[in-house]
Amino acid sequence: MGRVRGVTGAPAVATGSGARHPASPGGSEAILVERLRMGDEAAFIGLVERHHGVLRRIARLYATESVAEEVVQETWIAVLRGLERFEGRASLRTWIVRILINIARSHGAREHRQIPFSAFADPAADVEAAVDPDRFQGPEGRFPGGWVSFPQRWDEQPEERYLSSEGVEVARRAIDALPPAQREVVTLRDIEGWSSDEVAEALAISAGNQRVLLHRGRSKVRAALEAAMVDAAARKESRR
Amino acid sequence: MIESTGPAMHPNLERYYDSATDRAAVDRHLANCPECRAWLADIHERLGQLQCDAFVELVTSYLEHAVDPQVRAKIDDHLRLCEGCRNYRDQVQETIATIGRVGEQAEPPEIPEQVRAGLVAAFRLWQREAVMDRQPRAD
Repeated sequence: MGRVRGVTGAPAVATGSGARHPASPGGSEAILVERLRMGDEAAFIGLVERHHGVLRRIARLYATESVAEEVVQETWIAVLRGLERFEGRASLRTWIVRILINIARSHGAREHRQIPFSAFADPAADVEAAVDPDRFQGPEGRFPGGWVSFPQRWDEQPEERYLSSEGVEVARRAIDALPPAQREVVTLRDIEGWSSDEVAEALAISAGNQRVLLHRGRSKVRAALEAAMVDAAARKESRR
Repeated sequence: MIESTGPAMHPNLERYYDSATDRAAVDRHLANCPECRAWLADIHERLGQLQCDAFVELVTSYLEHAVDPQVRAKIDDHLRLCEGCRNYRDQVQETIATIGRVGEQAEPPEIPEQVRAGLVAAFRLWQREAVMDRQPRAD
């Protein structure tokens, strides 16, 4: 089954309001790579500045602050050494991140913080429900499979305000607590704003696997937000 | 909210299961209106095409526009009829937006001067090696 590729070297599709910079389209990337090969130092510094943030954030999924910094520096060296081989089939950004992840994983192996490759194996093999099955009517219900009670609206107060304040911290902690593969996909898709193709490329997984991991990760974060808001409402109620 | 169309009190039965609907009032109408009873029966059948517990597993693919057209049509119809799943879909979108805000909060890491200098040095070294590799050997 062929993997669907972005037409212009996979520019990012923003999926979250915090979406970051899209990858450069194919043409200007080829020019950049050529300039790097010709020793254009400014081009290299520009590249480093553009990507250092995202590389640090991704490295931090695997390692402590200081090790992450090391991993990123090793990555840039490896990028320079690998530049000759870079054929432009992947976008430069996903190629760099792929190098980073391999380096981060080998560091993790040394520190026994490895994310096992099995974490990325077919996630559909494991069954994981997006929502607690108790939320749905059983076969004897009026509408089997239907909601027992409807989920709340979050675009009214106080939920809307919560999601812009304490909710962000709840989401951050929920993401940190995700299984590693889900954390990676949610981070790259919904924090970094990468497209589905770019994430599949960078993590060397299929678009389908990527989607399952995203689905599970997002479902857990949604559940965490819901629980936190119910909790906050209950605490407020009990103070009256 | 129930909307009536035409001179008779014909409710928008697609809203029948919405929390804001006065179902008792609609049921009084249904007692006297075989057309609407048939319409509601049709709605029950449509609701049976895709259950809510199935929708919550499809929501990610749906939002990515990665479902088959037939499945998409069933989901769209289900969402017309089901306030619970509309709310759930919207919750997922709010979740994505909230996750995005996590990224906005993160400090853009400064590249320490030492690191920058180290990378520049590495670049220059790499350049020299690359240039040397390209030189014809002076045998």
